[in-house]
Amino acid sequence: MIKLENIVKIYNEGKANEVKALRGIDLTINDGEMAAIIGESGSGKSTLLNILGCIDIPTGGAYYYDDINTSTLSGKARAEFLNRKIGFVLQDFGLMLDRSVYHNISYPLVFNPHIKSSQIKEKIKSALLSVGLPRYINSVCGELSGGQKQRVAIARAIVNEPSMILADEPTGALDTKTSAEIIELFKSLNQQGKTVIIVTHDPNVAQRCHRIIEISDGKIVSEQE
Amino acid sequence: MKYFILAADGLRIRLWLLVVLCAEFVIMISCASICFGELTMQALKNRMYDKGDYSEFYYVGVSTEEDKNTEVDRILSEMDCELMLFNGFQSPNSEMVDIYSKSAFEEIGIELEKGEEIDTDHDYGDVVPCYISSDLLRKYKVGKVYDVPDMGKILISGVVKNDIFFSYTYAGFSYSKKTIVAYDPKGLLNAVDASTFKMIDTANIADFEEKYQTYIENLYFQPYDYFYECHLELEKEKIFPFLALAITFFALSLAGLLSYSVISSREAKRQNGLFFLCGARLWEVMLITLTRVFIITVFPAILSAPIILYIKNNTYVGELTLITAENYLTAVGICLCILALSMLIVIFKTNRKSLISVVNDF
Repeated sequence: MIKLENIVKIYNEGKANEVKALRGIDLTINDGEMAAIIGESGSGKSTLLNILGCIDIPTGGAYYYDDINTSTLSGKARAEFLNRKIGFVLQDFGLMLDRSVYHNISYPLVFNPHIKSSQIKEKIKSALLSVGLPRYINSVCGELSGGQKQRVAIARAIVNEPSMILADEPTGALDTKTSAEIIELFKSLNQQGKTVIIVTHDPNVAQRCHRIIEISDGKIVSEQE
Repeated sequence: MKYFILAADGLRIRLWLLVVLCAEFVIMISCASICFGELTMQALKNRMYDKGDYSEFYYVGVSTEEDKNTEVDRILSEMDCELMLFNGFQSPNSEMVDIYSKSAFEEIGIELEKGEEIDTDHDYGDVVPCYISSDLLRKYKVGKVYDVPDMGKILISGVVKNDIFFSYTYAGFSYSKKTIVAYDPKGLLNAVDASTFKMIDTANIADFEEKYQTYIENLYFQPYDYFYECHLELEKEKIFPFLALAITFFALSLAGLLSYSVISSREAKRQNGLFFLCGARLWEVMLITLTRVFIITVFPAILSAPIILYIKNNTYVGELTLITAENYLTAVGICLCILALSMLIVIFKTNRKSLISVVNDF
């Protein structure tokens, strides 16, 4: 379970260009939920996602993941958390386009000390099967379509079997048809028990989630089931 | 192994770039080795000069005029200092043979790479003890006696370190790979057409330069350090064009390498950002980076070894410089450090704040 208590994020605190990106966010997300965070550009939704993913630290408040205060995590523990608990999916895929699908998906496995070299290929194949790209393991990412690239990005996010997937505008660079396919993929991952949190400005994407959390000017303004 | 595969995989698709980098590194390593070789040579000669305290040595002029030689002999007997005699000739095997007198051996400290020092008080019988330079090790073994036809029996006592010899022929120190230094008080060696040189050590002669100023001005006595300095200057002039070329090529290659670092830094930053996003720790990212650096430098390091050996053994530059394994490894180390530093800087710049911008830049 994820619990945010009065999360505040201020950039350049005390300086002339101070920005209050989050102004006291209280939020609870249960295991297995699929939630959308929507809001206008600059509302703080990506900042919230970065804090959920532990790649940014809140200026104030507390973030609990399964009752563990993430601000108390050491560097090593934080890296393990990112590696095994969270899968990130980025808007523009976040792939090394001149490298192979295998290479891109291998990253989380290489940094997982419980995975041996001999297990990497099978894990990658299994992840690609889950996203419907079993024959593309040796393809160069730059040669894939937008939808296929996003599927590869999702495969990388799930290859270590994390319990939570965070997606920042995953359909932002895709057409309507492909966007729908990607959202279906997220739904199927959610049905497997993964918590899925999607940041989006697309109401069609938000409608497919169990819960819609609307953020404006760094505050939650509404929540819909 | 996982890290190595990830590091190597990242380089595989840039083969043309690797070839260019490899060529640049070979040039850098070769040029750096030449420069270090020159520095090593200069440093060694200066060290030998300072250690031996040769500043008080004077050449004794040898004249064809009988009365001049008689005058010199008179002055020498008056000085009560022991004359150092040097005879040089070419052996039937085309090796340079230098015969040192007892006082020469005692005054001039010869550093050995291996073997034993010649004991000038020991009777070696009908065998002449010698030191040799390193190339002659292919023919002679330390500790063994050889009967050289038309020359005599020689005992190889030791190998001279770095092949740098005290030169009694007005040339400071000489770098020679085929020289034998012999101690032959009994005159056993058949020294055909030998040239004779004489020197004295004036350290124990009070006010030598004042007392014998006239003789010094008339070249009866000539200071060793004057010729040593002149020879150093001459060597610098000889090597300067090659050094200038070497430094230029090194700088050009370095510029190419740094350009590669700048161009690839954006991509490296992206990839490092992804690594951190996938849960990598700092040491893991550094390990992958350093593995990549190692892969990039190991091939040119191996390729440049035969090139440097060729330069050392077959070129004029090789005769003027002292290129050693240490110089080569230092050059490899410097190139490796330059590349490693430029790539590690990118890692340290990928801190939390930049990770967010890297993530958001995708």
